[in-house]
Amino acid sequence: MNNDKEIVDELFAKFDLVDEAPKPSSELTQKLHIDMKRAAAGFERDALQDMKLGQAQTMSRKPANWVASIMGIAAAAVFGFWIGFSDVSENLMYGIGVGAESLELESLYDDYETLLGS
Amino acid sequence: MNRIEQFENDSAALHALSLGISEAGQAIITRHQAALFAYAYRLCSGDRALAEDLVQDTFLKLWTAVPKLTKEKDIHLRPWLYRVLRNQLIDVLRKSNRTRSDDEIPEVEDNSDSVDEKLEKQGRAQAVQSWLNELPERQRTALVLSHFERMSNPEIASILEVSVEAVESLLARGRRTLAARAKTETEKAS
Repeated sequence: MNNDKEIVDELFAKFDLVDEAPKPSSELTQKLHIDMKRAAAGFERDALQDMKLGQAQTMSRKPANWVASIMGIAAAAVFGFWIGFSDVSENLMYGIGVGAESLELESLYDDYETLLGS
Repeated sequence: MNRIEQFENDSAALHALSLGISEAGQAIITRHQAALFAYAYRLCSGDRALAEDLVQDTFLKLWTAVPKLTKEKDIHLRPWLYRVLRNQLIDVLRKSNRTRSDDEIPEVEDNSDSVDEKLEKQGRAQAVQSWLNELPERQRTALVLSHFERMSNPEIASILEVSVEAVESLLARGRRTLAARAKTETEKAS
């Protein structure tokens, strides 16, 4: 098998088939460059379009983000006022006191007494 | 260093080309065109026009495939180009019914007149080239890639899309046929 390989190597070398590689014509080179430049122009156009699309999406998302943030802050403020100025806080403390009493937690019970006394 | 030289590997060049940098495309053409043409020329029996068409079509396929290729982790452009070119040649041969299955091992011709005539007409080098052309397509491709392009068996396997063992077998069969042919011609000449 190796002998066959050597014979074929010799055969190709003897007639310079390996060294004398055929060269492409300048016309082919020109054609390849024209095709490639056309493709590159298309890629550039696509990349620019993608970039513009990305920017447009970011811009359209921006107002939505602001509106969501403002609404979130407003909702938190309303909830805070409601907790602070309603009976909810008092009822909550009462519940904790009753719970503490049943568990015989003295310190919490004292706090509860103090709170009711005040 | 000019702008073409800065694309030292195919992967970087393809990514740059996908953004529209044409110098990257020039770097790819410069790097692969000559070898690809020599490969095509040898595969298609020295038909220069066909070889040039195949090279042009292969590069056209490459430009179309750039967005897909740039998404791949490892880009092995050289075997990709050789594989595409070979597949295109197979299509051309199929259409023109010039292909031959690998099972049909060509007989060593024993017609001294026609060989002498051929040797006179085309020269000895061209005769050897014609012996190569008479081999089945896969054997010829494997021999061209191994002896002319100096590719390793695993590289050839990736181009032919077969196992390394199959490549070894194709090379062995091709070499055996060519060696037998050379032996016969030497005996005739002496």
